[in-house]
Amino acid sequence: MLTFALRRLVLGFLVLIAVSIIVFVTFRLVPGDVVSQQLSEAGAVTPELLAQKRAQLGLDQPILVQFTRWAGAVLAGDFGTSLWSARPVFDLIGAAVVPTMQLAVVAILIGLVLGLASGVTSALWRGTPGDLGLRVVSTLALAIPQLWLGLLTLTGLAAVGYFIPLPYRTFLSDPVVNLQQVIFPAVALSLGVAAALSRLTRSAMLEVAEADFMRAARARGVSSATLYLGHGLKNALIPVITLLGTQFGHLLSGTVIIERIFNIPGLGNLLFEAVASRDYTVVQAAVITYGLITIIVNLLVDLSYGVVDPRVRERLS
Amino acid sequence: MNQGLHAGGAALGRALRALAATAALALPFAPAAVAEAPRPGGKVTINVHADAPNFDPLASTEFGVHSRLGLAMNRLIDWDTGDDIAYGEFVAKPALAESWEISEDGLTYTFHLRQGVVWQDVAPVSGRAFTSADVLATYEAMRAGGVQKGLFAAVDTITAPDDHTIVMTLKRKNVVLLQNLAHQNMWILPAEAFSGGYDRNLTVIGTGPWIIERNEPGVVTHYVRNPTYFGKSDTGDALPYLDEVDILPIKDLNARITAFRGGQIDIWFGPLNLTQMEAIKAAVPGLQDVRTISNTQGEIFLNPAFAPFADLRVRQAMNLAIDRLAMGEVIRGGGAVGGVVGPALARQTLPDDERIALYGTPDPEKARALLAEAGFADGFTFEFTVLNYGEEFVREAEWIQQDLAAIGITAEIKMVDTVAGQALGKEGNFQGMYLMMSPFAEANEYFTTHYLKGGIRNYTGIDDPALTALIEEQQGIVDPAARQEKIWEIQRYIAATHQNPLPVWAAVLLHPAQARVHGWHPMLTQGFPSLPEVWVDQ
Repeated sequence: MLTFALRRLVLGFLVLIAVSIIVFVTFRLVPGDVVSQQLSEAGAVTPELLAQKRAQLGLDQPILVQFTRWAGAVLAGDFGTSLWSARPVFDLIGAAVVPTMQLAVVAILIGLVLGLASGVTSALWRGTPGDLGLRVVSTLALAIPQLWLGLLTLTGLAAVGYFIPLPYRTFLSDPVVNLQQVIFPAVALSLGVAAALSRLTRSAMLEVAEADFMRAARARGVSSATLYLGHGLKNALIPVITLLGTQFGHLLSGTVIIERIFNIPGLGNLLFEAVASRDYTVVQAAVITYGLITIIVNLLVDLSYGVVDPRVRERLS
Repeated sequence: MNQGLHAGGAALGRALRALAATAALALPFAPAAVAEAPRPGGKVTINVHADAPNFDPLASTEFGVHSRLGLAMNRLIDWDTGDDIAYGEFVAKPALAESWEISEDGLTYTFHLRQGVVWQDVAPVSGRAFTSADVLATYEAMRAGGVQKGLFAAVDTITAPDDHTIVMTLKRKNVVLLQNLAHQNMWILPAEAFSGGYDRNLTVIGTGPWIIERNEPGVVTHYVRNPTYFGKSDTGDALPYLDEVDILPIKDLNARITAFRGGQIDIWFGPLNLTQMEAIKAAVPGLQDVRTISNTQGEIFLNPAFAPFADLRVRQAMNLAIDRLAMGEVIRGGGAVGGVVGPALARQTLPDDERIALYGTPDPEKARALLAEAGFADGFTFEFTVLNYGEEFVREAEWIQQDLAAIGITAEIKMVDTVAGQALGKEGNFQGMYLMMSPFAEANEYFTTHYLKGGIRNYTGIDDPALTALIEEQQGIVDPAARQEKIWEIQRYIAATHQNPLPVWAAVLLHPAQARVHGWHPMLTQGFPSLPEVWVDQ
């Protein structure tokens, strides 16, 4: 198991290296830089001043020199300072990752509960109008873009006279306000996850329901609840967990838009701003952070197979 | 689409309506007469749709920085505001300089600093007295490498003969010096900010009406009243009236609208169109509908490196093809025809009727004739780079595309983000480019950036000695009426000789405020100069 985990971690590290090189090179090919953005509103800026500012930030160096400097610093644990704000990148990422992870975890939990419940119910109600209704709802939820759903949530709440409190508060500073600020965007993010899980759970449950061990259990007089939740759902969980892992990645990308709509100072918002202002150091660190989270989540998903299926555990051992 | 609007002889009617609209918008809508005396206390919340990357005023020109600094800092000279002062009209108001004298030759400026002013009680400056050493340190740092460096181009020496006097000598006459010192980036900092005393990226120490008590990036900038602020109202009240101000960086437009409707924002700052405004008005009782002409305008740059655009007749033809009044009316619902100097600068832009005659009177037939004369009777195709300044701006580009198609010119739109577009402009890597010009506050800024060799907005490489001489000449004209004439003459010269870039449209700018807010006068410069006199009745 440990060897397996280490192998995955090494592979993940190589993926991060590849991602950082791709981001570093491609983002510098996009026209414009942070200096022209910082001085964009001025009429009295001279070309000499632009050159002076670029030299101060090292942007006048060849791209290879810039990359080796940046990579060397990162390997030494230093993500540098933001070209835009001059603040340490590590601090910016650290402050932003907490709201994003809170949002993502709440959203995935809501999605998990809704998706499993509706998937199992749909399987149990197979062929009934209730099954059809749940499938239609899940198809709709899959089709609705998160941007639209977020805006609809915000304006819908305003239409009934509820306004999400401002400004943003952390859970530790004001849990009541924080939950009001997180729950609605989390629901908007979670519906897609719930819909995908629901459809997969339903089909997995129906497949498992035909298995020999289910027929044997039914013949032994096992109750329906124990049969479907204790035997059926547990055996249907492997594909569901796999999907949960990939959905977490999709959900993280969704936070970029949702955080802007709901004014949450998270990693998505930070990345959006950094791209707009050509803040190379922050973009690279944010992308690496997203990559790292995705790799860790996928590793946890892989390891969890062993928890729910003893056969996998034995194979990994 | 817009051909129908071209026809029917409606141009005169539209011109008159635009004239009336421009006249009405030159001054902010006067709020209903309020007999109540201002009440001290309370709090307002303003949205600014960008974070302050940091608080170093020397590091960037970002409005997110300078709009926030304005609440805590002062300049030597400020922009006055009031019912009788138009948005965009610079009226010098004493700030840290209580008075000033200009020598007869116009080359020496002596500023008498306000006495008894103290810095905010924030370590390490901790409430010490403000002196000329602070002004000297700030200006020297700006001249050495601040974003304000270009504003001192005409300055030769700056000295401080005593604690309360600053003397500036100029290399040449420059009548915009006072306005340069009142520029939105020209905040005065304590000398400690430049001697390693504190980190000006993170700490703000000013002499302004409020103190930044807390700044949470992406969340809120919270200000509390500065008890030692020197400002007084006309009636002698101690300013500011408000105890607290919050600036919220709400970046999504719909989220801002929702927050305003819910009363979570008192004063609106930033883009808003008339449709959105109407929806807000329907939901917010007593809303103050304050409108001005935008301090930015759309401009089309035509790169002479692309053969057809090297011919003045082609540029003139394109100018005559665009029906700006119809476009502004349909897409923006109001505003003003652009000019070499933007129409928000009401006393420096050409008079409305002349600007409309130059840029707001389409004549497709004459345009086709000019194209034929230039050898392009069958038209041509060019790449039209459009910077993404939002939905309405892109619709303007599409309107222009259709107007040009009507005279046989095919514009193939290429959308880019604003940073990329500015970079392409500086590199000269475009054929035609449509962008929103920076919010300049003086005709001189338009001239020097667009038409002088090396100017930061001279994307078309204009290098005209006669024009350069005219621009330098206006910088030295002390008499306001004579200078205004010279500024108009330059604009006429540019229209006749260069016609590049083509000014397009300055939209109506909306500044709604909640009914509880009094004394609010939006102003072109950043930093909310009227805010110290704002008060609330709840």
